[in-house]
Amino acid sequence: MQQVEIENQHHSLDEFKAALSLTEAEWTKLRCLARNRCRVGRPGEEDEVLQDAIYRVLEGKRRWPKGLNLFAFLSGVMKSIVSENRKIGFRRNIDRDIEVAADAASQDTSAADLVLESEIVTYVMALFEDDPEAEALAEGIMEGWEKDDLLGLFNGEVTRYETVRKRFRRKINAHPEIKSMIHGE
Amino acid sequence: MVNEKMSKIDRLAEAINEDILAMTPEEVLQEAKVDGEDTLGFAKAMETWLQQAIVQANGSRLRNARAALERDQERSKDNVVPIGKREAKPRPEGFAPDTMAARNGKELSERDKAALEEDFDDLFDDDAWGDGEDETDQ
Repeated sequence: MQQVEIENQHHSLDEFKAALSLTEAEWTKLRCLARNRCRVGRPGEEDEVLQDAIYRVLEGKRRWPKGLNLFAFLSGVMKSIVSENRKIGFRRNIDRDIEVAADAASQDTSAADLVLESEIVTYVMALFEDDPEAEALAEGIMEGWEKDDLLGLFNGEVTRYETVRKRFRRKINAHPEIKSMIHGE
Repeated sequence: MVNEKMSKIDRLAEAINEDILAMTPEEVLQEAKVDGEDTLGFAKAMETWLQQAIVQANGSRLRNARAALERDQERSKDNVVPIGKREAKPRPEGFAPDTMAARNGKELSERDKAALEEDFDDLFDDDAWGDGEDETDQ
């Protein structure tokens, strides 16, 4: 009975394979998502992590929940893979739930992680030294502000907010290997 | 609501993740090309890899299923408690069942014949009926 419910809540393997008939732009989008996930944990390994995520689903180790966008799903799997690599041994059975995996990864705040995070935050903020609007946006995002709060930085002007947000994202994406830039790895 | 469990780096990654998810295919391609990426080459490489990965994953799933089945069978063996065969008890000497089934549905036994005759005797025994009882209706 429980197995039937699980089957009903997830896409079949055939549906997943069919959904992977992607266009050039869609593959590129997946690579962008992978690069974002790998920025700190596995810099430069986005192709491997993307393939690993897809392979886990093909093997039946991860299942694609119905109602969840394919890109959001694979991005979540990649997040889980990267955090798994960073903190081997911390997760038993939580691979089943992407959100739980995310929380567990964040909870594991070892001293080394805190130092690394502090270095990365400093580095990220330094990227926006000559762009006060993007700097304020980056700070707000890292403090966990909601969109309404972030819009407040731009007096509620949506277009200005979106322009700066795009600039912010482009700048970060131009530095996909932040960790290696800091440590020279 | 701020998710206190997330680190600053996690929040940064989530914000960029949302932005990428919201991008149109055209925007994605345009930005990648501006960055000098070989998007077509990457897409083709992934398609080739995918075909191989599907074959490999099918094999892996089959092996896992077989292993699970073998484990299951091993476990089943452990759970089975053998039941000893019951030996047929010898019948008392001289015992001969006298049932319709034992006679295979044929002929009456001597005992049945005797019982039948006794029933007929009772039926045709005039003394068994009281005098004039049948004449009351006339």
